Amino acid sequence: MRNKKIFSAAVSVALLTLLWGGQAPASAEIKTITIGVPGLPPSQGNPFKEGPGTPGIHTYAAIFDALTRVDSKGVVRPRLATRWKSIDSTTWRFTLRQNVKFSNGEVFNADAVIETIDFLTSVDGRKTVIGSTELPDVTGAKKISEYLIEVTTKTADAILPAKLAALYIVAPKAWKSAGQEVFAKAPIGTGPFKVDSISTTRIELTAFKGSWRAPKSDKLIIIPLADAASRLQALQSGQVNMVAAINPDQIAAVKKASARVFVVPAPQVMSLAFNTIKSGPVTDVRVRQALNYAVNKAEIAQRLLAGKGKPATQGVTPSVLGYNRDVQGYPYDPDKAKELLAAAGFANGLTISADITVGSFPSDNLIYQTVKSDLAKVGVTLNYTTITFAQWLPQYNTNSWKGDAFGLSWNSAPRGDASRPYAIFVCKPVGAFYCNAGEDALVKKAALELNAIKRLAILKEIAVKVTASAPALYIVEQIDLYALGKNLYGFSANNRAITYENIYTGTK
Amino acid sequence: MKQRLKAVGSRLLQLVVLLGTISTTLFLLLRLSGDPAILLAGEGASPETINAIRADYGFDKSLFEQYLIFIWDVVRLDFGRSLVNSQPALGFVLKYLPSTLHLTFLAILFNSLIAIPAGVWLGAKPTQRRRRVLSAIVSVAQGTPAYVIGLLLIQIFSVWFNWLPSIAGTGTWSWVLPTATLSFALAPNLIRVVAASIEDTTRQDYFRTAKANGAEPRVLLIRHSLPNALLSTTSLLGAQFAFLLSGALITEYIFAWPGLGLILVQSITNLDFPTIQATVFVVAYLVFFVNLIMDQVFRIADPRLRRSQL
Repeated sequence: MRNKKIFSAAVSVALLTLLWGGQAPASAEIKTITIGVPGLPPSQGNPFKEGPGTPGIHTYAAIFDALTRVDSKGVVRPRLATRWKSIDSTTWRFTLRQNVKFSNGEVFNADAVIETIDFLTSVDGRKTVIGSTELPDVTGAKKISEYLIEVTTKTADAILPAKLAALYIVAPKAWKSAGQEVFAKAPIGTGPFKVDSISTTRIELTAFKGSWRAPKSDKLIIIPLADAASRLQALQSGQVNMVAAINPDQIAAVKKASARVFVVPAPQVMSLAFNTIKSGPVTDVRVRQALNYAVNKAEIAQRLLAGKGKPATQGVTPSVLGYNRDVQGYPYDPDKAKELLAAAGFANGLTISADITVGSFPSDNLIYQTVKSDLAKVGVTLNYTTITFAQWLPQYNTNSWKGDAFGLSWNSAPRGDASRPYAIFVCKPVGAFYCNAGEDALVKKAALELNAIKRLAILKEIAVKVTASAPALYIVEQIDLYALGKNLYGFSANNRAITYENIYTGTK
Repeated sequence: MKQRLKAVGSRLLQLVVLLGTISTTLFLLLRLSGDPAILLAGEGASPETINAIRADYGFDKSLFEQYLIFIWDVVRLDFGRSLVNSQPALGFVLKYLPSTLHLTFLAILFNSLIAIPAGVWLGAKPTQRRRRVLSAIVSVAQGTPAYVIGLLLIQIFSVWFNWLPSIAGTGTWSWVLPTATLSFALAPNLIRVVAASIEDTTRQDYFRTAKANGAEPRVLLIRHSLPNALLSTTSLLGAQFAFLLSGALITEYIFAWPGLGLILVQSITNLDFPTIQATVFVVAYLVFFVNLIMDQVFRIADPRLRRSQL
């Protein structure tokens, strides 16, 4: 009898405990979004030391804003600047967004932008990636009024507003008092999240409710999971709500786990660029064209990019300003390839070599191997040397390539403008690997043309000419693949910048 | 006492020679591996920018001059600042050391707990059929890479059963899977060494004498075989310990475990010379001390060694 009483008391306590647990106030629940990415920015919270793409962008899109952003159609949209116009050939005037605050309470205004641009043009700023390679021609900024500034450039720059999408505005006082090194550990921007802690294996952020793009979630955790298989497993087991950069061959597994795949066309064309400055078979345009005809790009896009990528017809993708729909590129035609090779004096085939880096794009290694086997069918032996990015960069900067070709992505991000990749294929004083005076003149003309319609016409003309001269073996338009857990909503990505403010977990 | 001091002095000299050799080799190899200034400046940077960055870090000086500065800095334990995150390199590396030590100790512990009993059981009667089966399994396991073991464990315990986390720092139990991965990766080797040593002791004269004197099988195994077998086991454990200190790279990679292996790979990718140098230096230092401790353990375990120097 006594035992029975104890038993029923215990059951009651257990039930009450369960009920208590079940009644945990839903409103107080902290909504955390955890995402898995291939890597965190090595320079941590210093947004000037990283290129504008991955891995930095997965982190910076949560913390910072630039004056502008470029949408998926290549159109420049307002961000911290609401309007802009060209004042003269080397000056642009920007009207700034009002009522915007940094996460430390500082006010966003002309002084904030000027502080950022002052750093960019300083000796130290010029040693950063953004100062040296993204915006080397910006010479300064001037305050006109509290919310009006003018930015000047060395030479006429028709697309400065698009280029400024790569420049994140930092909280001026925090930046100045902390200096680059300390700021990197506690970065402050106007974005939807502020950093709580930052390490090489984890970044934890809290919602900045006062942000002009206030987030729907309370916390954001960004975890680097370099291995694609363990990234997927982290999603399958529900430890992360979302992962970036899954492989096309993982799509089926994602769907099986009732997660969704989000595919975004990347403004990037994967190619093998030819070193036409060095003597060799690829100095002959017929050989370059033949190699382009010999590869079945549509098949690669279908089979290795799960039908989500597209065969490349030119150096830019349809989302980029300057894409020319009339350019059809090189459809798969091995007979024509053989004809061209014979005309160039290689009827019995030839051997070429290329240096490549792998692991940067979905299925890149498999794509390169398929290119090799397609070329073998027309009698071309392609030998690869796989190198690291650290080995790639100095050879690229100085054109010290020993081979006939090297892996190169025609990247139009983040400005979404064809001028970015075209500027690589010019007669540079140092490091040129391709030089065509006619095309060069057009690229320069486009850079100086301030009339948007005329400029677009020039870019389209460049597309025709550069495609015809085939300075590269255009392979595929690449894709970015994200996998979203079943309870994650509001996801979108713009030029690889995740719109963190709209993401939330729960019910739709 | 004098002899002991001499021994300590000789050990210290060894440490200095070791660290000097490692530092010099590392310095030369790193300078051959590429130019960090080019990486820092980015794609298409102008030669002026690259030169300015070079001058900032002193990479524009002659190799010999750079070497002298480097050695002087190493003597003062100043490895400079990381080229990518600008933090003092040694402090940055030391911050990740506890995490590596944590994983190392746990892995060695679980590895010993699995491998020593299994090895003893196997070595005691190696010809028995069921023990032969285990022996075959151990051989197969020895050939299984840690990467595969790790992903399998995650698939089973995180994805299917949802019992354990697979990402470091996400819960109280996040150490379990990386530890299990390392233990399973290291255990087969240890099992085989223990088994072989146990088997070997059974052929020794003292064992046969004890057996002839009528000692029980259990006593034979525990009192006579095991202590001798553990000598070779200890040396393998020491080697495994040193190996784990240098970073259980693949395991840290899969589980995002914030250890020295992960730091080393990241810094190599970024040609972050100061961080690479600091990491290698810390690991070399630790391995030296592990070896020193293992020598002491041998001295205690093996009376024959006590008569020799330290």
